[in-house]
Amino acid sequence: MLINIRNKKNSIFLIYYSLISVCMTFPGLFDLANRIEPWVFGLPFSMFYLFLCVALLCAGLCIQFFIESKLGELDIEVTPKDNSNVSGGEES
Amino acid sequence: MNIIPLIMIFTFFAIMLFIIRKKLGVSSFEDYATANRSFGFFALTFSVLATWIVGAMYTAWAGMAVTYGFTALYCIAYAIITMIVMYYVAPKTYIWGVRYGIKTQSELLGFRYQSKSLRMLTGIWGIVFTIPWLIVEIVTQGYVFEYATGGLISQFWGMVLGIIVVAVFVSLGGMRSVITANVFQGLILIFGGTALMIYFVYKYFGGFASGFEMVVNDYPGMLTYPGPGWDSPTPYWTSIVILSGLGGFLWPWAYNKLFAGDSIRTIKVSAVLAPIIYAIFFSIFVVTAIFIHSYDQTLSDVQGAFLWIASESGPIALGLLGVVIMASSVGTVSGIIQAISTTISRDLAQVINRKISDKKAVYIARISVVVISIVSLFFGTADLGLMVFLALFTYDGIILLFPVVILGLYWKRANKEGAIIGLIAGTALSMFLRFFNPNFIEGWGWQPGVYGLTLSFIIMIVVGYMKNPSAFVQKLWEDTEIIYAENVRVPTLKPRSRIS
Repeated sequence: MLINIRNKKNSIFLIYYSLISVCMTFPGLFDLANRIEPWVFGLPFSMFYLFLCVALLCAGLCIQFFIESKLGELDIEVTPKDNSNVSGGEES
Repeated sequence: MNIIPLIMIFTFFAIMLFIIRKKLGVSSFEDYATANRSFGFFALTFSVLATWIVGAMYTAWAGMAVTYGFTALYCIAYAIITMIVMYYVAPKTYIWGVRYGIKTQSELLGFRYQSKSLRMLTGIWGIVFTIPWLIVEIVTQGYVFEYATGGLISQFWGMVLGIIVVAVFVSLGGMRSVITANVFQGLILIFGGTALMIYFVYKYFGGFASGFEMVVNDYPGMLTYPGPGWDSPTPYWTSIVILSGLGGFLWPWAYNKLFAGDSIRTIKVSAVLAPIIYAIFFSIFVVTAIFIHSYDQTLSDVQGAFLWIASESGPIALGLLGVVIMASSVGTVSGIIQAISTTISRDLAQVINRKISDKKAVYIARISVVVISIVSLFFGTADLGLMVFLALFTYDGIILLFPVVILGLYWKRANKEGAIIGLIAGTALSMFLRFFNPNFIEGWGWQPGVYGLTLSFIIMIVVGYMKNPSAFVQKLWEDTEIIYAENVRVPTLKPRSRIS
């Protein structure tokens, strides 16, 4: 249950980030926005489009952070384990 | 010669050393490498920014922005992708780091894949592809000293001064002094840099609106990709954003900061805040560079464009820009040297000889700082143009750590055979295409790292399906889920058992 919720949440946001990133960078979609007109908020359209994509990605991160905060995923307490023979390599 | 810029730079160094004076001294190797995982979000955010924003931004990247305009904004596009990567790698890096005492990126990978070979290999990858950045930054420091003092301090002695200061506080204070200094440097470079850019825009162009009006009338090509006089296909834009975005957080000097955070919340707050601050800061920088393009004097030396306009604005402006560049550069250099010295001690020396004591590990790291500094100085006397060229190549190499890290953290089937073969084969393909530069690279626009990354993913996935996950990995995943189950609230009315 727990792992399913976490995986679904992570996957949904990852798809969202991927879609926006594709719009922001990939040939075709980016080419449509790569022009000066129309001007939006005093910016050429190319810049406005780029800033919009970045803002949407930032908003996604904020929402994901808020959800994870509610679920308690951000305040995980971890107890150190005696790992002197394990850490960083093959177990002997 | 006006000595005000020199005084301002020395004052910056003096204040920085004063701030970190109580951090000089480490109690253990854990303290040297991770500052005992003690830093909160404010320190981590500005540390990531200070390490990440390089001094060469005002020379090499300024050249790109002044010449091609909009294209330089690829940096804000990739920055947000980098922070998404940071957001996703943070939980398991933190959990495994604390649980199993992991202190470096390579150690994390060696632990996950249960492979000393992979640990050493990724450590070497991190060092090899990082060195060009270190050299570029040291040369930048020398360049700023020489420019700001009107040649009184030569570039070589500027490099020596800069590296001595960094070597002293890194070797004595480790990660704790690096992050503390980074906060100061980060505040200086973000607020000082932004204020200076806005000053230039209003002093020379009458504000943003009139600046844009001038550019759209006289240099409209600066406002779209790829920029004036350059005919690069769109996949080049796609490549540089995606490669830099996915690879940007895999530099050991950036990744290792995760081990200094005191919680997952701290790291994720930093991942949310850093791109917002960076986007504002860098956008203003690029817009200013686009406006500066209108000055013919800057086009003959685009890399010195910002220093030229600062010198035209008087000694205070030149001194402030010198301080901002120095803050950016020292932040990066200190992070790099700390990361490399930690890797040498932890992922190479201690793997070869497991009997090295904690005290000796710190000693090895400190000696490494001195050696790295001397070697960097030696190479810093070479041609800077060549170094920038090499630095840009490094993304084609460091990006190959992405499949190893991301599949290692999220896919149980990822195994050491696939990781090692994928890393070597992907890097070999990437470097081959970069150095032999066949026609289709420029024709299609996709950069070598894209081909290497694709090959590496394919190899890791194919090899991953050739054998079942090891018992160690199964146990590791179960332990991680138990940790989550003990802490995370399940949004359901009916309590249910954990499914692993």
